[in-house]
Amino acid sequence: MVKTLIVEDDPQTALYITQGLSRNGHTLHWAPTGGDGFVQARAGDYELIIADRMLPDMDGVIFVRRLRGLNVQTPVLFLTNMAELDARIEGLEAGGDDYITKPFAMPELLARTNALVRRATLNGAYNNHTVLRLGSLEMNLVARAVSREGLRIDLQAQEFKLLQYLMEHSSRVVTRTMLLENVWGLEFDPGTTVVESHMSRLRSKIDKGFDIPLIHTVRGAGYVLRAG
Amino acid sequence: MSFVQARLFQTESFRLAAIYAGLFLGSMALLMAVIYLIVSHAFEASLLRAATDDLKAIRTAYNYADGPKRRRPLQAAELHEAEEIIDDRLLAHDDGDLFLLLKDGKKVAGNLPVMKPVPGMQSFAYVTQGGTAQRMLLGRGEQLRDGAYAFVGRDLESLEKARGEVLTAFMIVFGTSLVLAGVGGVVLSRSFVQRLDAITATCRSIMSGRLKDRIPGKGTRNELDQLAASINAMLDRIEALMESLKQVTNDIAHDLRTPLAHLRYRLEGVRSEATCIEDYEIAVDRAIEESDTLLAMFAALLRIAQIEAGARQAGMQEVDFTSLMDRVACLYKPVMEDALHPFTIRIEEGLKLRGDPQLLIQLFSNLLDNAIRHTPKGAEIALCATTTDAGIGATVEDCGEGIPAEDRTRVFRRFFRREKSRTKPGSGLGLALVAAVVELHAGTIRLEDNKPGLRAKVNFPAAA
Repeated sequence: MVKTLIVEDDPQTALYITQGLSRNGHTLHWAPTGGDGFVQARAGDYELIIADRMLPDMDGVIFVRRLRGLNVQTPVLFLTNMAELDARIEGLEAGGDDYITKPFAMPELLARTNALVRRATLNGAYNNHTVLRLGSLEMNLVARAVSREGLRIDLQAQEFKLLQYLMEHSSRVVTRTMLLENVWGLEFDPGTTVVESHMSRLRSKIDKGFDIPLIHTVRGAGYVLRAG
Repeated sequence: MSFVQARLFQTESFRLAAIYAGLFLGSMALLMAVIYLIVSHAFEASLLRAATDDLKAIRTAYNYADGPKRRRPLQAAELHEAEEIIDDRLLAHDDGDLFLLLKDGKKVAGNLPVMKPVPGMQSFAYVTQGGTAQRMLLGRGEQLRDGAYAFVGRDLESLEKARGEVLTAFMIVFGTSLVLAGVGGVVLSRSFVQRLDAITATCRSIMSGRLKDRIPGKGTRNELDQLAASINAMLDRIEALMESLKQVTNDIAHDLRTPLAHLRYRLEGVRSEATCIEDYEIAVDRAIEESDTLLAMFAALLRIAQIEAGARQAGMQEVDFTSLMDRVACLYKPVMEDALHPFTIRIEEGLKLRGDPQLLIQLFSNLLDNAIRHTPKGAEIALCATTTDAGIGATVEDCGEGIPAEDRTRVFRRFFRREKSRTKPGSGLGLALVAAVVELHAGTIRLEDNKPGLRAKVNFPAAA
């Protein structure tokens, strides 16, 4: 069970998030204002806070800045509007951990919350790892070498980055948008089949010729790297 | 009195003109007073000096008729000598010279009546010799030896006359200035009021809906014309923005209505025809997909609007254009391979410009997307970036169907799609966004015939 706090003034959005996340193992509390959220976030032992950027009583940035000021390190996922695209950087700088643009799809929100919670649980543990492993797949971050069942696999820089991101989020769904942002540094969806093409390239190198595929497509959501 | 005239005196320019006129006339009056005083004083002084000279001559003649240092009672002959001097003066000078020589209270010579022998400067009224008029004189008297008294004066009429003339001249100048200042003020404020009325009338006219109206200019470079020009430029900008807003509203109404209607038809169809859960599931999935497309269209519209409004100026930075284009190329290489397009990349080293990297990537990504969409499998697509005379030139070339010349500017409009059936995927917003990004970077974009296919040529000005 992941204890999650939603700070969002729009009840419909809050309900949508609550329904979606509670089906996926979250316990949710809802705070309709920044003030309420602040009190609850300090009192409760939350693993994740989902906060709107535009709260009736305060800017989400101020909300997070105050939380961080009191040394509350719970990961925060911002909900932003299209109109605040530029303000997003400000939100991340204030201590937010990720953002998602409204309107969003539930799989996207799920994938991002999972990534955040996991990151917090590991507490940067894999930052210290030089070798990532999943089943027979091994990735040496220092030597920049990848092998499966002991066979060396040559990856190009972009493919290496993509695989590293998948490995770091193994067994979790990552969405197209997450990949675009984190692997290619793109704030927009270039449409067509950019992610698909790169993924199929990587897939042909990682999975081709092996019995168990590691890269799986999750329909309507994204991809997941998992052993079996 | 017309409305304009009634307001003349309340205008700011009239008030200013009045203040300036007042100050000017005041200082002029002060100057005139000073000049008047100096002139009349100098005149008086010169009269007095002449009188004193005469008096000195009389005294000298009287005192030293028989040599200096002589101290004996005055003789008749000596008195006579002084008398002669006076008579000489009287003959030589005009009416204005007045003399009197007394001996023991009796008049010996002169043209003034007997008076009390007071020494020093005096000014008094006297009766002229004909006894006709009383006039003012200024003169000096002196007690001579042996009970003799001499007085020399000058008639003040000439001074009065001069004073009068100076005053008259001053009054004329003063009056003329007053009239000129008044007329100037009125003319100034009238033209000001008229110009302001023109501006007000234009504003009213615009408020009542005639948005094309503009303030007439006079073609001069004065402040009001500059103000009118600025207001007109502002109105042009507002009109352009309103026009674009109207365009967007129309676009949304027309182009987003259609997919929404399709979505509704489909849902309606499922509602009446679906027979099992699977039918519903398929329909819901399709509905979600379609609403995602719609949301993406809205997002693209918003993004274009943001770029056009200049809201993304904050993202502007020095960009290594070469590595940015390399990123774009790397991003699309696998896509090109999948679609079997030979992908030619020619990117010059060391290209730099000022821009928003995200938007620049999106620009070329949109152009490449278009190229892929309109080029048959196996045909070549090229991405180039080079230095040009004007700055940096970047092209995306394909060997597809191309765009006929008459459509080459229209394709940059929102929702403009060349295939009217709209069966191929695409929002009709890709090139509109491209145009917006190019404009944000002060660049230009031209579509050319690649024989066959299309060449999109983007030019960015050289980094300053």
